[in-house]
Amino acid sequence: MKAFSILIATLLCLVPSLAIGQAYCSLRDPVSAIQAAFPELDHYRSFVREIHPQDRNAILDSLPFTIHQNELGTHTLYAAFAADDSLLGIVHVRTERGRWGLTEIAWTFDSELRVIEMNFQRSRDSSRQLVESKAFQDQIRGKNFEELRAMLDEEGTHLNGELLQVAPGAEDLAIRVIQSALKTISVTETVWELKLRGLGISAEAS
Amino acid sequence: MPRVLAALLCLVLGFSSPALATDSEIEASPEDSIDNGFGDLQLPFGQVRAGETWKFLTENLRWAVDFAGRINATEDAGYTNQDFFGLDMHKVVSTSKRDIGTMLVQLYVDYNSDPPPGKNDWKFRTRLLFFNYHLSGRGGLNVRLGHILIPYGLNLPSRTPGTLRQFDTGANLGLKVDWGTSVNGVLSNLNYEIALTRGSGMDYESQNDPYLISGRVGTPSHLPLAMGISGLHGKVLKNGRIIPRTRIGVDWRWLGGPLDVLAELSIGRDSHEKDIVNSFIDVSWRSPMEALLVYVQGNIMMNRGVADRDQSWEKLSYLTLGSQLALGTHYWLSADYRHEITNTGKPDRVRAQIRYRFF
Repeated sequence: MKAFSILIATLLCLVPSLAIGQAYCSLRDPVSAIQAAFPELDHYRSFVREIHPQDRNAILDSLPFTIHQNELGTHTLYAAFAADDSLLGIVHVRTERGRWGLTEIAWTFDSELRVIEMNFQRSRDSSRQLVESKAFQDQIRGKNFEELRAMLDEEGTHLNGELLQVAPGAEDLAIRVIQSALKTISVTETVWELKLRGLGISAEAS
Repeated sequence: MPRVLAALLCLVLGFSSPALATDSEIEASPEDSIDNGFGDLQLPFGQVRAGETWKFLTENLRWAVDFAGRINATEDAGYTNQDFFGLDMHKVVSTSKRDIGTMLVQLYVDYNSDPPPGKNDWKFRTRLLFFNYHLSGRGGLNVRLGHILIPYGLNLPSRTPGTLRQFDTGANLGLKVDWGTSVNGVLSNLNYEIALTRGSGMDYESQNDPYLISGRVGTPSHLPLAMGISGLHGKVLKNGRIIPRTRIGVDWRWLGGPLDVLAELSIGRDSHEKDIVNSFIDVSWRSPMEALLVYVQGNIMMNRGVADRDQSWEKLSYLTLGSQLALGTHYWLSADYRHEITNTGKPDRVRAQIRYRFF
């Protein structure tokens, strides 16, 4: 009991952080997002990779904003195929800090890492519908890293109103979504580079 | 048990055989090409190329060591403690361009300082052990086999393994997991899982022929508001007793603002003798990075004799307050306090847990 108390006291001195270590039975494939993005989907394939500290440095070099240490860890990239085994695109789910808890976004990209669409897997933000709306999706569809990068200011922390129009009240969420897109493309290129080459995807989009 | 494990392993290997020789078609990655030193392996289900055995075993594999220590303090009854030491593994088995299925293994050794009568204080437990085979490549039809979560109400999707925070499983299911099989899938507008299981829970027992048919159909879980309809029927074996049990339930999950709300309402019958009405609600708040979770839960469990419908319902109601704090990425501290709202004399209970996951 004494040892348990000392252990508790020691742990309380640590800084609270992101809880990324849920039991693996809670993992779910973003099946709905894959089905929605690719109507001609016949099957998909997972590629699990670990994001290492050296990957983080490479990712940081390509982004105008920082990423949290806790965004390392193990993640899955999904490749979607048609019945003839031709590649339809890839899906990558990223977790972002939200106002009321974590936000999960499923990003779907074509073979040149241009955005096909995004779907929230989890979001408690009241402006979620505005960002998932057709009006917003139409503005980011087909955009690559550089075009998405231009939708933010130099620091990557404010919207460039000339390139992205967002409904009032949804600006904060829209910034986080564009940042997430940039991060997702950069992480995908950095960590899954060999897989992308094997799938015939250019890993030099950014 | 060994026969079940062997059968499960054979199924996994059998389903996955196309992957063994073809994965290099998609990528010849230096990181994955490690010669196992034994040359080609000829196995009943196919050939494993030299250098691909290790890759087959480790590709798309997650694993973690999971330890937890828990203290339970019940009013006027002193302290007891429980400790859990386990391994949590998740592997996606794939061909070159298609996932075949997912295998989940959660094996634990538990210590209980106050075990139930006739039980040892140390016990090996198979929390979950299943293979979910994708019959359709789109994820619309899968078959799960092994030690699985019972698909009913808030029990799915699994969000509470190894945590103090639990949902309304005890009062309705009696069991949280069971040995058996299910069909499950994700369609454009609904998720479903329907299971046929042994009805004996954690351990596989066949005395008195228990069984359980259960299922849940729900709206997509990624939407802010999701709801599901569940049902179960069977004979549950618990503590050596067979309990005929039937339930129909509705569950809701709302994740649209600062508070998450989960709720479940079930009606049914136990042992052909008691009408049952159970309700449950969980309201939770979390910090932006979800390092801190605070929740309050309410249970109202009511029963009434089938032969005494003129009588009033017997009620048992609890209020639970709990929290969970993540420290770094590997430690979790959690605690909860449960108080009976009704007056049947149930003692208050306080629990605390520290959990460590290495992955």
